[in-house]
Amino acid sequence: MLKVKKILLEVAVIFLGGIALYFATSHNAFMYQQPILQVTAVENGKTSVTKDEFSNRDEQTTQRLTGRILNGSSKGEKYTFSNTYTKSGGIDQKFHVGQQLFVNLYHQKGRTSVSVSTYKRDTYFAILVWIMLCLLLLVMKIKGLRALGSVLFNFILFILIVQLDVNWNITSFFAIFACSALIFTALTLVWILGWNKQCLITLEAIVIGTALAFAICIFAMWITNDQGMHYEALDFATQQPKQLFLAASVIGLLGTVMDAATDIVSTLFEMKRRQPQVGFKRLYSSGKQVGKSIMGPLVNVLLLIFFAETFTLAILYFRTGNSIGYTFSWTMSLGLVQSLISGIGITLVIPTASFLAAITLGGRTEK
Amino acid sequence: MTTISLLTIILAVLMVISGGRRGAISFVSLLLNFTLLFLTVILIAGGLPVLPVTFLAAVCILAITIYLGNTDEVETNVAFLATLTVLVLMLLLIVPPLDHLAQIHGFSNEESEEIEAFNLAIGVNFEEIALTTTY
Repeated sequence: MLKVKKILLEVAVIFLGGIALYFATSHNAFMYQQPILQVTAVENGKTSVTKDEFSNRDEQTTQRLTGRILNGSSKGEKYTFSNTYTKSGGIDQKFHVGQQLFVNLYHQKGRTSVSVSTYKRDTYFAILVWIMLCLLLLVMKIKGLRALGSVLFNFILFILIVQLDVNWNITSFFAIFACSALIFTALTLVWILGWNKQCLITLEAIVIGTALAFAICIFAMWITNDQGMHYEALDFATQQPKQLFLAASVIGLLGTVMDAATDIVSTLFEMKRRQPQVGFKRLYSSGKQVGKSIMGPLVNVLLLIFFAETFTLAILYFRTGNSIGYTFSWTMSLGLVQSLISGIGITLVIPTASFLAAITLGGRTEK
Repeated sequence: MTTISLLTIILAVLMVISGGRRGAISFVSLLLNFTLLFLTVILIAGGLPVLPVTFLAAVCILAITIYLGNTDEVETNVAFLATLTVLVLMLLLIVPPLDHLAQIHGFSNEESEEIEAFNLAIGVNFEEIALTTTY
């Protein structure tokens, strides 16, 4: 009975929390600087069919929207404006009554015109975060929160460093990112594992694996003269694109290497705890066994993550009459290189982590 | 030789050195998955219905990733079913409500035509599936 009560209580808390969040985020317009408009009436116009030179058919509709401003100096004022949307919704969308939108107001000669900037999505973001938090707590208990804490901490640190880079506008910013990535790793490991031998070995393995993989990658780029690398295809590159790309690669590489290294080292430490007499050879070979079984899925995960990112863009390229080779080299080659570097990192960290852990744990008991 | 092909060769060699036969199989599964993903993009761009194609591709990728290179049949069956359940759950729970309510689709500021609404959400799904396969 007590268990049932506890479950009911948990469900109630999750639901009530969700409803409270929904209410709070749909009434938080006063917290924003940009004017927010709530749509009160929608009048849909005629739909016309469009066709481009690649015979992509689409439907375009213009709607008249009426809405009330919820915040700022024009609070309470009513405006009517039009919005055009396509069926495919690449960069536009259809609005409905009750939705809140970020808008720009232009005052000119006594008249005010409204243009929609974007849909206000904070409610859904908050609820998703809430669901994730609840699931983490339910499944992993307090450990999940701890992990989340380190993610948040790293996120804030990362934003700070990016801000630093933007403000100072340094030419050799790669060093900053590489160093900060190292600091992230060390802090995360200490946070999760605590300051002990296991943490130290994991860190050593990560640093060696990352450095080796990165050196190989730089060497490969140098030897092939960056052939087929379209650094100019990099999104939002305002600084030197190659350095920016390498900085991003190092951070990604470190993440995957950390994943593999922690798995191996913690397995070996657990093994040693259970069988204290186990020696170097057995530890090393079981470390490699663990590595073998995580390598396949991990490398595939990298591929999927990278592919998910380029999915929409690749479809757009194909639909606008580009060839397979062109699409590949402009939308995928950079991401693929990053995944390859991370994959190389995984393969290198498996023997490194196994060796380091095995020699520390089993070196003395070797017969 | 392009940088990509050199790095691919390096990865293949290292995977074989580090993982032996299983490493080689993992590399093959990587190639298969990449081909499948590329085919999915081409099929969707060709106008086939997005969700069925994606779901089919996801199941294939899942099968390749899990069954290739794993010898323990019971264990892999469990992993396969578990990830499939998560995939279906995510598809039902997250995609329709979120896509209609939050209207997360398309691009932020690029020109676009005929981009189906579901692509991005499915992309997230892929990661989800993929992450669960590692356990």
